[in-house]
Amino acid sequence: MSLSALGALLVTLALAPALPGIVQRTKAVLTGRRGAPLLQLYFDLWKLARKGTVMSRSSSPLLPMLPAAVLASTVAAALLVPIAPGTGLLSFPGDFLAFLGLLGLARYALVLAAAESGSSFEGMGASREAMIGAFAEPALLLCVACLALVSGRARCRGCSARAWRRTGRPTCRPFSSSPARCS
Amino acid sequence: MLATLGIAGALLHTANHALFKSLLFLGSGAIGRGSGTRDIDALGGLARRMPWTWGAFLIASIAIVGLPPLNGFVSEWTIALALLAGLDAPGAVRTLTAGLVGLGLIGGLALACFTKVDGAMFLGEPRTRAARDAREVGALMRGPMVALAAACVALGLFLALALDPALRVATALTSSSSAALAPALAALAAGATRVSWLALLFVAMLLAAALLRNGLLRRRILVEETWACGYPVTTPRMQHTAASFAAPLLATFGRLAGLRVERTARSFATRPVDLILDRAARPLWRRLNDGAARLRWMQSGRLHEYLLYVLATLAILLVYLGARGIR
Repeated sequence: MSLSALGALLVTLALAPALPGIVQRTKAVLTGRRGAPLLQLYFDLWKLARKGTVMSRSSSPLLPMLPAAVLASTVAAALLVPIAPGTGLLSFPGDFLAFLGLLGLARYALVLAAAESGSSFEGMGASREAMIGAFAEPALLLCVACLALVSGRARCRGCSARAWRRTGRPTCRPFSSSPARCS
Repeated sequence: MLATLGIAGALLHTANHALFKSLLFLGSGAIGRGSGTRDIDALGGLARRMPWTWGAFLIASIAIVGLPPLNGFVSEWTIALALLAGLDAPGAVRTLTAGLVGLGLIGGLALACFTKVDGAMFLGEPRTRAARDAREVGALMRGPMVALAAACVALGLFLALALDPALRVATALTSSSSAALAPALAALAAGATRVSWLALLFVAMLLAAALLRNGLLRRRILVEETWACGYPVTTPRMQHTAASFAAPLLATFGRLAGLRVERTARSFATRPVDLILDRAARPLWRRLNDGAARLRWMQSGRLHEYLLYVLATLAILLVYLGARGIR
């Protein structure tokens, strides 16, 4: 666990809310609108952080734990991603499965939190989340697995743009400590 | 390597299923006992009425979906590693692709299924009086559930507890030389330790975030009625039902699974159809039965007629054999 990797993780966490802003702004520009400010999500988070909490009378004592579960599983997933060159804070054979599993756990908590409200609107949102998740998960798993395999080792650490430049049949040595050579 | 890992993963998966599936069965029993009904659509809001059952059931559902940090993930991880270890075999990329797509789809659908069950039975408002009057079950029923849930958590956090014995059995079963396997097994053990670390780290971060949010940075928390667009009273009838929750997925997969949709202006319900029993076995039996009924006139109950049948059959057979020429 190197210091630079830890720094990269913190930078990632700090920059993450900017990404939806960039996506939204790009969409807006492409469709000829002005769109929201790039940093809109930061403003929203700041505004929400100063507000109190309103919980539904229908909710159970689990509800306050659920946002914490979403945050913890997302951060844990971020630990596996090689952010700085060649590093992830944690790396092991098949860690891309853990990455997807942790994101799945975040979705689980999200859907449960929606069901806590006992309302149809949240129910609809949760239902859609579960459906899209069921379709997105195989696709995402396949993409991440391809990256991991092309890199020659079945772990996230080898996944990078460099991996694409290698040619030849993907060979996989999930347990070797050095990247496989592809001729 | 493929065989050893695969068998170890399968054994581990079997053991894990024994834990969390038993727990789910015990949980269903407890729900039936505590509420007096076995109809999912009649339940709701049990989380506050049966907190022990809810906690155990939630752990079992997360484990069976195969999500970290519980034991279901550990065995799925081992099986996937076996899949990857066999990649050098010819045609393996196709198998791997199919396996991974299958794994992902199963995971996604299991998540949809168990969030539906959890949400419909335990969260929200009780849908009927049976659910409203539900009581937590006694200590004799809670004890086994707590023990199984603890086992699920322990095997998820400390992988070596179950992985090491499973690997030892698999090595013995495949009678592979331990010298050839040793480096791979060492790498796997190191990986398992990392998974343990990740799981423990997740639990620590979960507790820290929960504590920070609900303890240290506690702000004003209001408990209010769920906003329902200005209706004065929210009723359980406004809740999303289990059928509605599953509707988008069933629109895609319902035909494959065999499903009857009942939709009226005021209600929406889906009933499962047993594809084997209702679409294959019963029609086949009905056709057999119809055919037999058409021959019913032969069964008169008079012995001399039956003897006549025997004689006629014999005569026909003799004529047939005579026509073909006996050698």
